[in-house]
Amino acid sequence: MSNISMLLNGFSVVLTFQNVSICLLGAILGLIVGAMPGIGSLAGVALLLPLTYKFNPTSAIILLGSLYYSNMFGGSFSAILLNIPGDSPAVMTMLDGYPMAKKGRPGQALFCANISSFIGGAIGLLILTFLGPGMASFGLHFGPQDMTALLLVAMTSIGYLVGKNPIEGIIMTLVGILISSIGMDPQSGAPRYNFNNMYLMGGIPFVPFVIGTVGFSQVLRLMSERNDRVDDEILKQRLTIKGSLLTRHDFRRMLPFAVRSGVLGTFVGVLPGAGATTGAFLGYAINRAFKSEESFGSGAIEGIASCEAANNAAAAGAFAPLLALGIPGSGTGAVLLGGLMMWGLSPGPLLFRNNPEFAWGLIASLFFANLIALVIAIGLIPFLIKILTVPVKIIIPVVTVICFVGSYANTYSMYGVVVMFISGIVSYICEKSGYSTAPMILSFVLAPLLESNMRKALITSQGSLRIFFTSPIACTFIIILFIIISFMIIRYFSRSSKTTMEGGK
Amino acid sequence: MDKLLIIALTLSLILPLHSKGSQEVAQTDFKPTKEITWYCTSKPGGGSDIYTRAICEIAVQNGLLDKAPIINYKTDGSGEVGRNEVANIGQNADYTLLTFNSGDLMPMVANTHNRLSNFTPIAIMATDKQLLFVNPNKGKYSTFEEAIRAAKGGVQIVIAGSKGDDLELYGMLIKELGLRENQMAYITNDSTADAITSGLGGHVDFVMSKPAAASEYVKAGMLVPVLALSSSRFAGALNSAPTLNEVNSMYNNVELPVWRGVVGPANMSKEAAKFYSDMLFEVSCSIAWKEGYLATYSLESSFLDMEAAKAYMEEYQTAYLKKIGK
Amino acid sequence: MEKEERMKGRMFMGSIADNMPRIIPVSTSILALIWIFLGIKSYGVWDEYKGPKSGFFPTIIAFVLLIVSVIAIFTSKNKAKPFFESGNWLIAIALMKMVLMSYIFGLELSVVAFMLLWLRVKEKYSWKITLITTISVMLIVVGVFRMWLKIQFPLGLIGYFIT
Repeated sequence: MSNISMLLNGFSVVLTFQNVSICLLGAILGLIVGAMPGIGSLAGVALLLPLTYKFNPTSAIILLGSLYYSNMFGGSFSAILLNIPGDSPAVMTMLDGYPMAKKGRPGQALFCANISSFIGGAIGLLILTFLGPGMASFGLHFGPQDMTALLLVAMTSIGYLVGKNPIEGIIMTLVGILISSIGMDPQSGAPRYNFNNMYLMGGIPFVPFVIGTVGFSQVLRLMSERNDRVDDEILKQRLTIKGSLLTRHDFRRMLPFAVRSGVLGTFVGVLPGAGATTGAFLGYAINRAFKSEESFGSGAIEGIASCEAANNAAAAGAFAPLLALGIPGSGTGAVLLGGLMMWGLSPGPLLFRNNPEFAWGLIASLFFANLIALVIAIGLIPFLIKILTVPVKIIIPVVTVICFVGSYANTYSMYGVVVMFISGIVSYICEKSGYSTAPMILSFVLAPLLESNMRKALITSQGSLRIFFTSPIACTFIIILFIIISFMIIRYFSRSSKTTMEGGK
Repeated sequence: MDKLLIIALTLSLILPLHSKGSQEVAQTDFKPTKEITWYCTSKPGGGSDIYTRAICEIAVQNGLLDKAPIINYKTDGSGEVGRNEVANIGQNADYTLLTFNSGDLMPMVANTHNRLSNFTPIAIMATDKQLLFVNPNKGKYSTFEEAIRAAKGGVQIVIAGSKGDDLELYGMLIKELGLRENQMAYITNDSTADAITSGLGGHVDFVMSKPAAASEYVKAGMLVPVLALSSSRFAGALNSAPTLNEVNSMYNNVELPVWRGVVGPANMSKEAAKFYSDMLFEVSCSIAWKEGYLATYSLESSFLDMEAAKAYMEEYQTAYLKKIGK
Repeated sequence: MEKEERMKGRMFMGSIADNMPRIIPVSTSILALIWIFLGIKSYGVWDEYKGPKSGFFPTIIAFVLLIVSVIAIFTSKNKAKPFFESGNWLIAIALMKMVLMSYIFGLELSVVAFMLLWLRVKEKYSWKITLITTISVMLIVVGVFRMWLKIQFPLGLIGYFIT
């Protein structure tokens, strides 16, 4: 039977009244979980798992699948509106989303995020439908040396953030890497740089770190704007659904970026251990090379499209190894996997063969969840942008409480709050002194993956760097890496020589 | 400012310690009335998770528990944060359980000051052993003997496995073979699933795994067992794998049985511990446990109740501390 | 007298702010030195047999950080001096008090107290707006985080005595 007829079969499983309402419920819960800083899809799925004991496996996985999926939509809300990412892939969305909202186009920013999520997700799911098992074995070809090279390419996205102050940017990037090295060494299993502290042994938790670096430091900055008045006129015009619709021109701008990211993201999602966050970073890094109307990082609609499409596509792509091989691509995937076993299914290479109605039912439900999440998210936009009319004086205590509660909820302890507090204050001082903190966050996320892959590669090669050039995949990425870097250097020098020449005149 | 923070942190660590005490006296017979939180310090989908879920499910099915416990995955700091949390839990000590096996105990005592005395052993349920697998489509070696020969001849062999007990066992294996780490290297992965992934991709020569995580791949013909890290062969589908002594009579068998147990916080009441210990005994007697769990995942039944488990775990801790010179 | 001292304090704070473009690279180079020292001495960089050790990657990164930081120290003279408004720290102090309070009164009560005090006393909002905002925040904290997501917030000393 062809994949399409299997999928249609899957749809007939999903489109019962019970399953549609379950899917709807999952989508709504997912949006809420995603929008809450500190709670990711992992917690959401894990918390709902016991509830699904009583369901039949198909309904249960529909609930969890739709929750996981719509969670990706929710993450961008607080990133765009409050400059606090709801989950880690949304860090990239924040870079353009928040400036765009500040420019008086919050509705369009949210709209663009939602529609690109949808496009990315749809592309990912289509690829999953037609290439599923094949794609999973594609992912297996990536060894540690290939992942290392790929991650180095992803890391160049940091270079664009460094911008005008390269030295400061590099310093913050490296500091991010050093901070991420605190905790358990993944290879030897021994603690390092933890200064004999039990909590530091667990490393610096990402979510509180980001909430502090971005959210709380921004509260400190907002204190100076307490008495500024919100520009009512601009906002009032756009507070309706109509005012937040994308113009045809906007849509034309974002579409190619979303499509490119969608395809790219899907394949990143398939790779071992990469996941939606790396997908978003790579989507942003690669799409930077294409021409955009506004420059990335200044509130460009293209930037939002690049990362939102990529992270949703990666979430879809991650289902390929999960379903075809029983390999979880992420923590959330692993909980889903646990669920499968609980319901008496054996996830693994035989799942598609032994339980086709289940596997295809799940894929069909993801298509459905993608659509439902889009509809609900767009319906929410008018309510969400009202947040922007709230005076800064009220925003300050509210966001402070969210930072506090969100970072506590993430670690279940005051440790998260302490991390949030310290990173918030340090970041505020750094930002004020011309040290942008965005590169630090990005390197903090990518460095552990890079390090463990690099060390695995070096163990197999017995310390020789040749391994990065003998593998065709790695070699390709290394060449891309050199092209990107030389491009960046040339551009930097041509720009600085231009400014000195202009200065000379 | 710092001082305040230090005070706050200290308070957060001290407060939970004083909370109990008053409650311990009154209860005579324990029956859970609230939700139980069950800590699992490994990723969902791994061996510890399957084990924990199996117990919970059987306990609910057989009416030993009214409500399924909430499983709390605490994988931070390779699980040390979760274990420390259980050790220092204040409230709900009678409603907190922790999946605890030898692979948790070893890094815990090696890397932290946390010791068994901070817990109440409740039971040991089963023992688990590892095997080495090879990917028949991409692997260079079809038997372990070829690999030993190649390693001695100067070709590097790479084994992928998980952290904790796998890493420890690898050390024992190369010591027995008289090889160095560069001759037969080991790549530590976060979980066995990751190790299997690299095996399926052909990036390593062998994958170390317990039967549970590898069973589906063996069924699908994607992994083949080549060495039983045990004193005798496994049963069933894994029977084809010889022990090290069978591979070459020069070597002794290498094994590091992983016991899987359950503990509670040190300040759990005796009544509660007794209740859970009895419950786990019932679970271990059930057919669902014997056939659905032990046989499926090729584990050996080895039930020890709370007193026996305490003695066994303590002995294990003492021996291990001595071995690593602590 | 008092005024003079306050002036001195302000000037001291001001000079810290003025020197921030130098203080930051100096602190990052100290950070780098600590990382290099621990990396080489305690964790090790390379093992003849085992390959890269725990300190391998962090030490390399720290070396680069040290070099870049030193460059930054020497080029920091022409950088713009940041200006910190002392009033901005108020929210940090308030957050810290809220955190400390939650050890006594529990998290929820502390959040309520913080919201009421900040909006009513500091920002001088009407009771109506104060209450509406506080209640909406508590709906999220209690409704979503505690009840639905089952996050166990600290109950504080008082909570211990009650339960």
